[in-house]
Order: sequence, then structure tokens, then C-alpha cells
Amino acid sequence: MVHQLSLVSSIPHNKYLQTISTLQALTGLVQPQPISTYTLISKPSTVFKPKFEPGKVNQIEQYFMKCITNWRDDSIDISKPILKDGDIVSARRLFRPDDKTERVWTLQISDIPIAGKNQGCCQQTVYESTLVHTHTRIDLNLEDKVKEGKDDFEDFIEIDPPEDSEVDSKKTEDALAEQRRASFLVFLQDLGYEVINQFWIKGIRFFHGDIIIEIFKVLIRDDTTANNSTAERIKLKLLDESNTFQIRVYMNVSKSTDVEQINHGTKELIKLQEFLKNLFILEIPDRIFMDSRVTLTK
Amino acid sequence: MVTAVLLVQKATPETITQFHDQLSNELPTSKGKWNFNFKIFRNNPYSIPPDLVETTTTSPESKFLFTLSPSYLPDSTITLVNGKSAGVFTNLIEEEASELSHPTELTIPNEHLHRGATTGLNDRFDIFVGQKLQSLWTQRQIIKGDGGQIYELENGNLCIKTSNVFLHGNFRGLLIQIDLNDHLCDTKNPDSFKQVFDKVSEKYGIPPGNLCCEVLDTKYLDKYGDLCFQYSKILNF
Repeated sequence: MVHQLSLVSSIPHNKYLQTISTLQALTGLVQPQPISTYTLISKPSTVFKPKFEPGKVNQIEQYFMKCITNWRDDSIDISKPILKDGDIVSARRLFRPDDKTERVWTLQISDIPIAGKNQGCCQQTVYESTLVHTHTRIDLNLEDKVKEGKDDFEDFIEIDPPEDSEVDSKKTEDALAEQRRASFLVFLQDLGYEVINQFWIKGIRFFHGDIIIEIFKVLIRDDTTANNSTAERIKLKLLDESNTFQIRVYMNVSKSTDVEQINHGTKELIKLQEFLKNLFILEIPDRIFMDSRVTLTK
Repeated sequence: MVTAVLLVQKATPETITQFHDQLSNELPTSKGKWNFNFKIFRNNPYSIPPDLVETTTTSPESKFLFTLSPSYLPDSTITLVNGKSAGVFTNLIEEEASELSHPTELTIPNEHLHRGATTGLNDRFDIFVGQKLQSLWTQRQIIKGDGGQIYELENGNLCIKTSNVFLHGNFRGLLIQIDLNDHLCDTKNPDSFKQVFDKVSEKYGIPPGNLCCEVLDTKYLDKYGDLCFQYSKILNF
């Protein structure tokens, strides 16, 4: 469990160099740490319909879950603006039949930030657990069912359709089963979650005491132009085409009961907010937009 | 590594000490103590597949999720969902593991932390499920293994782990886990495991019990998934 204190801001692209130089001077960190993550947003595949009894308060909620993995691609230079007609920006596909490396995924669910007036910063509790290995039994007799299931994923991930030749069908079936055996998505499906969206983050971060300062851009899949995606890579575009950088300044406290540490962290963040106010204004994000609960159908 | 697990339900203090004595006569290398936590979750009946929402109020399906956290895999949890999907979760970062001189068998790669995919403050998966996936899975039972001993025999090719099993604080038997090195059995043919384990049981006087050496998928062995599967088979009270 992580109790996260945070503030957010954004800067236009042309202020990037100035911001970086200032932060380098502030933190003494000449080489900021590059960050690049790939996130799947998932939601429970079932509908939660608890029995409503008078006098009984139902505390159980359904939550959206983020599945995060690191993204190994150094072809994007975030210090250069990404233009619509410029170079093609793309990411390597993860779910390819020939990709045998086992990926590590962090499952993350965060609570809605705590409510209240006069707060110094946004405070929310984040739960996460990291999956390092998966293994699934696939019954080949159920191949039809499996194929059916595959269609559900197709919009989000690219399992390349196996070659449909009759001779190879047994081989292909085996390959498909092999691929699904180690598949994170099958595990996710059994756990009760389905993928609904995806995004990529590319940026850098600085460390200032216990505070982490992240500057990044969010990329999404580009489906607008005719097939620019290849079997190897997916074409990407910026979520915010104005090339604005997002800034997130946060601090992780390992226990939500550690009031002393939380108060200290809040003070530190306010101090930083004051210090950087001429460069960018750090603000508290609207907690309503950070609600991770799936609304109940009544 | 190929494993088998059995539970001696009618274990008494005498049979347990007798078994430990008998093992000590084989001059094993003692590898210290261990314990485990095994949790059973059931699907929340009010979570209904979307196509049945209008017609039913509770889910017709009955599914289980098991989590196993043995102390010899520090900060790690093995899970088995719906009897077919296994996963291994860990809280340990590679660089921390070497600092703490923990076994580095299961760790989160440094890159995963450095590139920002995790905060580095992970929860155990059973806690995560219990806290945030309550709409999907509700906890039914906690089974604890305490006072366990690890004996290494035959130059490290055979490992016998014993543990007392408690369900909600009540003693339910003696659990014995047998780990065999791969080359001692035919890994291509999991059906032959039973014979091998029976031989081992006979040789070391392992008390009779519901020995389980079944595997999830006979074509592809997976030591973690198979182990959790075996625990789920023998620990259903």
C-alpha cells in the first residue's frame, strides 16, 4: 500500500529546456532518469449487483485497474516536438507470437483521493502487486472457445492471426496454445478483468529529497491514418497534440497511518510549489476525475 | 524441480516426532525453518456475467482463487485462479534482494522500477485481492503452516519440508512437501511421478496421506503453478 501525495502541472513544449535546466540546478541531478511505461486500463468483466438491504451499508466497490509494464523503446526523443506530419512514432508490439520473453506486469488500483477543504496536496492510497510469471493450462478441445475469446482482445492487442493453412493447422493450434499458455491477458481474463484501453508514457524524472518530479508526454494508438502499423510496431500519436508536457510531483509514504510523515511530505510539496511558482504552477488535481470506481448499475 | 504434497490428517505428536527422528537417522542437512500461508477465495456471487444480469441475482458459476505464500520464497505469492491460470507475484526488487542477501529466484527486474512501472512499494497479492478485488473474490479460509522444518537429502537432490497445518487456529494435520530434482524423474511423463514419489515415501517412512503430485498441464510443467495446484488439492477441508 502506498499513500501518495501529489501535485500536477503542465508546460508548453517551448519551456521544456528552461524547465529541465532549472530542475537540474535544483536537484543537482544532471542526468534525469528516463521513464517509459505501457499501461493497459482494465475493468471487471462482470456486473456487480449486490443485494440492497435496508440498514446495511454496502462498502464493496468495483475498480478500474491499471496494468503497467516498462516499455523498451529509445526511438522517441521527447525533447523534440512530435508533429502530425513529422516522423512516424511507433512502439514495438508486445503480444507477438515470436516474443518469448516473459513480461513483468504491475497491477495497480488506486482509491479516490481523500476529500476535504484546505488541503495542501492531493492524497490517495494506491495498491499494487507485481506479477513476474504466469502459466495457464490450455485445453486444446476448447480451442473453439479460445478462438472466440481471442476476438475480444483483438481491438487492443495485436495477436497476429495465425496462418490459416490446413496443413499447418495442428502446428498453428499448438503455437497459439503455447502463446496463450504464458499469456498475461489470459491470466487477467481468469482473474475477472478485461482490457478496455491502453496508453504509453515517455518522459524523465528528477529526485528532490523524497519528492519525485516527473515530466512526460502521453501517447496513444494512432488509428486515424490508413494502416501505418506493421506486424512489428504500432503507430502512436500524442494524446495532447499541442505537445504540452505533463508534470507530476509526488511523494510516496509507505503507510497511510504515518501522519507525521504525511504532514512532513505535504509541507515539502508546498515548499516546492512555492519555489517553482515562476516556472510552472503546481496545482491539486480535481479528485472527481481521479475516481477509479466503476459506477454500480442499480 | 518436481514436487508432491501430502497431508497426514491423523497426525499425533507421537507420529510427528517419530517421523522427524526417522528422517534425522538419514543424516539430512537441516535447511532451517519455514512456514506458509494458504488462502482460499471464492467468486463473489453478486458479480454476474453481463449476459445474465437481467435474469439472475447471483452468479451460477462457482470459481476459486488460491494464494500460497511459502516463507522460503520471501515476499512472493503464488496464485491459482479457476483451477487453470497460475501466476507468481513478488514484492522484491532485484537490487534490494541482493542487498538483503535473499534468494534472487523471484524478483522484479530493476528496469521495471527505474522506468517507472512500479512505485516499488508493492502489496502481497493476497492482500491486494482481499482489499481491492472484493467485488470479484471473497475470502473463505486461511490455512496456516507453522513450525516447519526443511531437510535436504541425497546431496541436495531431494528436499523434504514438513509443517503443521492450522485452519483458523485448529490443528488439521502434518503437511509434507517433497521436492525432487528434475533428473530423478521423467519430466516428459508426469504420469510416472506417482511411482517415483511412492518409492521416496517408502524409503523415508513418510506416513500415508493423500499424496498429490498432479500437475496443471501434463505437457508443460510449471513448478510454481503446479505446487499451488497441489496445495489446493490436499487442503480442501
